[in-house]
This record gives sequence, C-alpha cells and structure tokens, in this order.
Amino acid sequence: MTVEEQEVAALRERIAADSLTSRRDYLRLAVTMSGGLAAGGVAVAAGIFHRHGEGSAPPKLVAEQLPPGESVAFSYPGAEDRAVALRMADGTLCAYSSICTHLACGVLWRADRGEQGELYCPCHEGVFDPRTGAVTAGPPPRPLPRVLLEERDGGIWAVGTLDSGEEQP
Amino acid sequence: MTDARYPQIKPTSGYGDPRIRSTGPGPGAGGETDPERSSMLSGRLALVLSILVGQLWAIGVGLNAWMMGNTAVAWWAAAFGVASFLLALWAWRLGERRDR
Repeated sequence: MTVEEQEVAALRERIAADSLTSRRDYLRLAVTMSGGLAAGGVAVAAGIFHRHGEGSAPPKLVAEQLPPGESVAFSYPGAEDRAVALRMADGTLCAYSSICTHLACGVLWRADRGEQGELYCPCHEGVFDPRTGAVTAGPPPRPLPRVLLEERDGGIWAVGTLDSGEEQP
Repeated sequence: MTDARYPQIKPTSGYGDPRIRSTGPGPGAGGETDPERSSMLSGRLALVLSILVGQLWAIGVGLNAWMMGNTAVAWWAAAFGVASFLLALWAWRLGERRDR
C-alpha cells in the first residue's frame, strides 16, 4: 500500500469513526464546554476585560469652544478610550465614551435625529439618550459611561469618568 | 414434512431443540442489573445541555454587571457558573463508563 493509499485509508477510517460519536462523547463535550464557561465567568469577575472609558487621568483639553448642535471626538482617559463631547441645542454640555456597549462600534452624535438629537450607533441601530447616556432603542445592554467635563480657562476640559449607569455625584 | 403449512418449523423446534444441552440461562446472562441505564444516559445529557444554557445566561449577566461596576454580582454569577460545572461533572461521572 502506497503512502497516498494509506492516507486515504486513514481518512476513510476517521470519517467512519465520526459516525460512531456516542451520547457519552456528546456528554463529555458538553461538560468540557461547561468547564470553559465556568472558567470564563471567573475570568470576567476577576477583571480580564478592560472597561471602556474607565480610569483616571490628568485633566485634558477637549476643545476651546463647542457651538450648540456640534460635537467633538477625543480620547479620555486612555488613548484607546474614545469619547465624544457634545453641546445640545439648549446649551447642555455632556460627554460619553463613544464605544457602543453592544459590540464596541463607534457611537456618533446625530443632531438631526430625534427631538433633541441622539447618540447613534450605526452598526445595529443602537440609540442613547444624549442627556443621560441611557439606552433608548436597539440592542445595547448598558448606558454609555459618562466623561465629566468642566468649562474653565477658556476651554472645555475632561476631568474624570463615571462607570456605565453610575449617577453623577 | 415439507408439505406442511409451516415447513420451517421442525418437530424438534422449541423445547425439542437438539442444540439445547442444558437448561437455565446461557453464559453472560444476568449481568445486566440496571436496564434503565440507557435512558439515564439520555437524561444526563439533557441535564448537562440545560446546565449549559444556564451558564450562558450567567456569563452574560456577569459580564454586564462587571462592565457596570457591580463586581459582587459578577462574582455571584461566576460562582453559579462553577457550581453548574460541578453539577455537570457529577452528571458525567455518574453511571457506568461503558454506557454509550
């Protein structure tokens, strides 16, 4: 038997063996998956994932001015923590992490949507309230984390962050 | 006897079978003491698949809670996941290993 014929024979045997997968094999697979999920749960609780928009950093100048209806993109507190600051038509100034809480797409300020403008994620039509960051439509499971702003010294400064859903102190 | 209605049945069929040399159960008979093991294996598989669904739910809840800063809830979800795994492990080890 040549090498090629041996390989074909081995492949045939393996394919034939697959049909013999038993309930006990399925049970073993399911228990293995269960162990993986248990380990994943512990890893999540231990903090393996980075919370977008969390952390502290020195105050950062976001913009010198921001006219009503306009927004500006920046990063705070880390270089990877993308955020958006916006001023609504009534002059309210606020800023949020612009990383969608659904699947981490970029959230955009859309002044033309809704009654007072919306923070809108185009990936899966997620919509956030621009005053609170709360989810108003779509699949995102959590509100957007807020970035705290201060207007002083002739500019708009990012000075801190809040967790998703955390109220401003 | 070939003109009989049932030619396959010989006069020696049944109790008269000449191959039977002694009465009683044959070799290996009586080893099966728990004939419901097959159903139990199906049940164990169903149980573990249900546990998997619960664990998927728990890891979603835990991740959501952790992302919102509720670390305690995330640890409870993790504990639920580990307890579910131990239950699945028990269901796997239960019963005969030769059951397929």
